[in-house]
Amino acid sequence: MAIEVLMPKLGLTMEEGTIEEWKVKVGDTVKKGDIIFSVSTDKMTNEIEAEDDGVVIGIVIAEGDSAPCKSVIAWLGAAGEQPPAGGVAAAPAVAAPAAAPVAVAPVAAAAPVARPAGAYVLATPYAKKLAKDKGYALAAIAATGYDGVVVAKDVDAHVAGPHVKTSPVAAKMAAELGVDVNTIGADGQRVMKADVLAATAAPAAAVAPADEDEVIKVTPMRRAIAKNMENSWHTSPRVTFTRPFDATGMKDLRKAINKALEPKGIKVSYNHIMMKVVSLCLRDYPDINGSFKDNLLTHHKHINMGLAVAQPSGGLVVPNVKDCDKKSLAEIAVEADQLAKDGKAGKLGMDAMTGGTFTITNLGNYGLTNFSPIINQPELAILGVCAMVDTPVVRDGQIVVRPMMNLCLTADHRVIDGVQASEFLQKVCEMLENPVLMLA
Amino acid sequence: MRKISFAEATLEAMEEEMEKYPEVFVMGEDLARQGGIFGQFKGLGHKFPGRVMDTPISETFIVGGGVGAALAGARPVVDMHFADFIGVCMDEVFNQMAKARYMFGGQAKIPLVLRAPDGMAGGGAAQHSQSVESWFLHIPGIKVVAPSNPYDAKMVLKAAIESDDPVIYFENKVIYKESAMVPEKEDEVPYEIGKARVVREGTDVTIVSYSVGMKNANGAADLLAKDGINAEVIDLITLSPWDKETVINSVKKTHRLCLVAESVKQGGAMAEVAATVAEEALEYLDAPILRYGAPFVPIPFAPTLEKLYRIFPEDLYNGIKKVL
Amino acid sequence: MATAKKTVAPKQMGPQSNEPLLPHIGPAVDVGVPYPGVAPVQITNPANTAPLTDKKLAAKMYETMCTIRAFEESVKKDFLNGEIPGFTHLYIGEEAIATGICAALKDTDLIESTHRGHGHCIAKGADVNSMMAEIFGKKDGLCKGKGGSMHIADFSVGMLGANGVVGGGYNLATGAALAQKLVLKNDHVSVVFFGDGASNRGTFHEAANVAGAWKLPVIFVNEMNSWASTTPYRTTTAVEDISDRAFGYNMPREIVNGNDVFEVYAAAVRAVERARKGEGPTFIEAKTYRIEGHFVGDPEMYRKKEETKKILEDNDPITRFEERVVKAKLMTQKECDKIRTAAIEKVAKAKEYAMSCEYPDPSEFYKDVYVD
Repeated sequence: MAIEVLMPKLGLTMEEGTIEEWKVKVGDTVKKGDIIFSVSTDKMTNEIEAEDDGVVIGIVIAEGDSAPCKSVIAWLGAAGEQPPAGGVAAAPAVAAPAAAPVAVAPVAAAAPVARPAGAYVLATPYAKKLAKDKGYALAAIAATGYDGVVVAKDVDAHVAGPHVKTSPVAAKMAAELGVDVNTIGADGQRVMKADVLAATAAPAAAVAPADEDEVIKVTPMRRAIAKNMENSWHTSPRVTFTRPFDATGMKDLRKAINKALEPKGIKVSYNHIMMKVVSLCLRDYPDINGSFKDNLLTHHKHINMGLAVAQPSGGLVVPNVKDCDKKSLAEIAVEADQLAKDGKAGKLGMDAMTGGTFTITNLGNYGLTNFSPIINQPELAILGVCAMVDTPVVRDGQIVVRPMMNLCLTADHRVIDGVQASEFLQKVCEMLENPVLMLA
Repeated sequence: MRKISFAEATLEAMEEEMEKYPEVFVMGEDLARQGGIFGQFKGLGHKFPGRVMDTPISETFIVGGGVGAALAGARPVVDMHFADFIGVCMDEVFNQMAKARYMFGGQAKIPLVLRAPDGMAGGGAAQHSQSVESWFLHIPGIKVVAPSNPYDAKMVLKAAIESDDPVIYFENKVIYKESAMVPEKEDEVPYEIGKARVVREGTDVTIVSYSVGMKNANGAADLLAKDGINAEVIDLITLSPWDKETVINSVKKTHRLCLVAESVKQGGAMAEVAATVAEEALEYLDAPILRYGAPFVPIPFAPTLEKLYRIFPEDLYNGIKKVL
Repeated sequence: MATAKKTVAPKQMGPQSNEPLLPHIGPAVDVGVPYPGVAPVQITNPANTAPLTDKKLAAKMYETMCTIRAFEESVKKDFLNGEIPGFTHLYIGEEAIATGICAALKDTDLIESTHRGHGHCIAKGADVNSMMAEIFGKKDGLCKGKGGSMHIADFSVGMLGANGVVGGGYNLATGAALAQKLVLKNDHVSVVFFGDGASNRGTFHEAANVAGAWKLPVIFVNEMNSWASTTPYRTTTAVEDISDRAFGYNMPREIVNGNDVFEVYAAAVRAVERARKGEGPTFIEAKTYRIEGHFVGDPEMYRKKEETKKILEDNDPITRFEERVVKAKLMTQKECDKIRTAAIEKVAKAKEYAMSCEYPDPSEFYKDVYVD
């Protein structure tokens, strides 16, 4: 199994580094602690040690070239092993259900002139202008012009084509959300509100390298996810802080409260408690409940808690519970469940999809104890919730077994420094360990 | 309306201007006695004795003397015999005639017309067949005109003589003899130098040319019409400063541009048109710009070789069909 | 023909002479280039007895020469100080030619000047303030700052422009003469100034031939200053006296001492008279010497500065004038000094004026081209 060698982040302000020198070459065997390369920033040059044993099986960033911190610059592995296909960029470890294979939507009517997927689309300037003005992707347009070039009449034909018929609501929503209606929905069918919502899916896993011999045209939804992911990755210099807490108190709370709510048919989940606790804690951390653009930091007045909802067809949506800090656990439970249900069914309204100020994503079901979620732009932080694991811990000098959970807070370091993030995380954990503090 | 040739039209223009302005005079080789080697000055010397001067074979004097005469207050028309000979007096053209008005801060007017018969008349070979108008598009301060038909020949020449800026008037040797209907004097519409004319409206492709190249432009448009393709044809008439607006507006309508001229394609007037459209209206183009001009070789003598030098309407037709 | 007496016969030329290599004025200059020696030229035409009787005219010519000298010295200083852009060529030592020729012309007569044209411009009567402003590139200059030193012109006084192209003026002057005589039917005369370097341009032949053939009222004034840029004329020119070529165009010529304003003036008067009478062109060869380098800043590696200095000391047209007028009791030295001082002051004021003017506004950029 290949191991990534990442560009280290050697200081708060370091965003990228330049490889000064590789001390090893492909094929060399390295031991943990060996100096394998030197890296320079505008401030300094450091020698970097290997963090694992292995054979250098690939060097991604050449001497003299730069790479962002935490991006893959080389691969270690077993002798003879190949680096992963397309393994140039680090695959961000982000919440994504190990979903069933994505159903690829039928591709737009085949162009008379064959064009390999991803190939540069030859088009006349006028055709490009028309396509752009009308909001069509050139790649979807069949070329009938000279030498296989997309000409204006091809764009016109595409515009007149059946698959771009759109419901009025979908059209309005697409315009507001900046979704290209021609890239979504099933070919030949009317684009509906649900298609638009699907296309606005929140951050989810980036595309894993496929078998290098097979090129798959991804769904429009996947393209939208990819775009969002890429945007987030390039926008926030992020750090993930992980902290364990003892879930005993939370477990007890849930048990007690669910018993009380049983007649009402309401069931509070750990997610709901997380939402409430985090919302309450955010009141004291306006920087974290904010957004940042053009060097302006916005402190949001409302705390609207987003919850990542996996869709059966793959991908994610993130509806949010408005003013979550002001709602009771029961209210949160009812509202969040309805949102999750709608999300899975692709029936979420615009209101539920927009206005979030913070996001929680829970992969505990899959036994994860650590991961690094990616921020849902333009928010400034996201909280990853891991599995609850019975763990031997020391309490009052005795080894006891407690249900321990890890929380992974990914924060945008442009705004949120390590101390602030850690303090916030600590506060969240304390409240979860002593839910009574919610009343404080 | 009456039918007159291009050469007769220029003669009419000369006569009318010489009657109107006593300061207009003509000089060049073989004009007064011979009437011009293409007959384009026939009888002018008799009609205006002393105002049509046969010069020695001295091109630098013909142009330089013309500039001096203009500086002194006359309104000279000078003739270059063959456009090919302008090289002899290039300094007079581009350092004196072109610059005097500007570099003297507007003190000088240069109401000078340099007439330059150009083009392939058949067998003229390398030194008597060239179309050299493109050289002068690179020289600020000169107006360059190249009419394509008798009516324009007359109106453009009159406008050139009346202009206080120097004008080079290219007149094609082949179209000298060709006749067309021309309005009576009272129905004439003065030509404004710098304006192109849409001679045929269309929607599918814009064909731009000037001078003898208009034969190809119109010929191609006729061929396309048989296929139901409507070409818009523009006669530039003035090559410098040229009418960008008319061409660009047409391209915005038709989205295709085809350019043709008899002169060498490389660095030709049409290269400027193509570049300008690419700069200013690229996003309106729905096909590559097509450009037809002479190959990059001196004009050969043998008829079989000379034919290879020529452009035919079918060339344009085939090219346009390919990108439609 | 009456004018025949005023011309000199061509001298015999050839490689027979072993006489020292002397420029026509001043000592030999060894440039290390072997070239055929020729006999020094007798420059004074005995017929050139200038009218040393008209005090007003003499004073005017003296004032013009002093203005040119002061103007050129001022320009030289300011150019070397970096205040004047471009290239500048000075007329110091040659003042008598432009002055003598232009004194014989009317305002309506036309002159074609050269890249060394400040002297012609002043002598033809241009305003020195506007001239200086032009040389500084200011909007109030004669050409609105668009021409500069090499293209200075004042059409209001018949100065049709300096010309940046050596030998560019012949055809223009001849064409102007043609227009005057044959088209506009007046008696105005054209003059073209040119150096010995320019005399080797083919344009001379074309213009001189037409002028001679059609008897046009144009005067070819050769400022024979011995240097074509950095090349001595004898290394490139087949004749000793450039004006020998006039005979090929059936054109009378006179050779005068170009450093004697009275001689130049007298020859000009005769040439102008011939021209106005319809007798055609005249070639005046004015022997002088280029005192300054080809351009301001020319390191003059091709000659010795002390020799040049001595030539000016021995042949300064201004000093020569003073000696002649004082000797002839036409003017006193005091009167001369007063005029000279005033000329220097006038030029100083011109410089002040030029400095006070603005550079042209960018709105001027596209004006004066494609006007109508």
